[in-house]
Amino acid sequence: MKTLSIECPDELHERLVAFVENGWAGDSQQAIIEALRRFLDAHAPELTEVQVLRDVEWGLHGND
Amino acid sequence: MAVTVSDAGPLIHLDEIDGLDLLEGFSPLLIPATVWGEAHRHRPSCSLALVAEAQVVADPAIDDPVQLALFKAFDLDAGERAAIALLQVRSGRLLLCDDSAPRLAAESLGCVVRGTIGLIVRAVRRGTRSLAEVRQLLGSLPERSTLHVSGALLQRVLAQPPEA
Repeated sequence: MKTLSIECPDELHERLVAFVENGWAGDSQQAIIEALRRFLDAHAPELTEVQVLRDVEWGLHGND
Repeated sequence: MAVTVSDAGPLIHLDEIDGLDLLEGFSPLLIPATVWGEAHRHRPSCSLALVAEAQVVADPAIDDPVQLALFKAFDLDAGERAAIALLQVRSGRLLLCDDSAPRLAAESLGCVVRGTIGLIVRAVRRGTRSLAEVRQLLGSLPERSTLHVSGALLQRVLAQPPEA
């Protein structure tokens, strides 16, 4: 396991605290790790690559 | 022509490379007010003067439970939600967007989604930029824009001939 040290905007931190206090995550670390996992899954390089290559194909041969 | 809707990404990224005119030819091109506000926050000088077909319109109401659930599942921001919802309300088909998550969400609703790189390459097809100019614009993205594309992928794109 690695230790990360980050600066977080106040508004986002307040939402994180409320999220944990309302019982949606065991603690803030658990919530942040889950958020990071979801972000990385949704921004997988292979997905971005497919999207960019589709863009190029459309740019060259699309019918808009 | 069917309605096209833009998210903030292409507006911001094209403005960063002085390429907002590459949005021409979509008739009409609709921009939800929230999206325009986001673009303007990032690029205060951003202007749609060069894009005659562009219109900033009010955000649509989002009350369809399926849409709401989908937007939450993909963790979309207010602008992304407004753009996809507007496209659906206006029975449009094409969404201009650069982020992976809203692209996936829109595609799952049957929309076609294209981004800044496609818009730049499209300029060759439409004859508004030469191939050399498009290659130059694409090559300048890492330095001039906040669009994050891997260097290796950008090199592959630049290596593609126009007949590809």
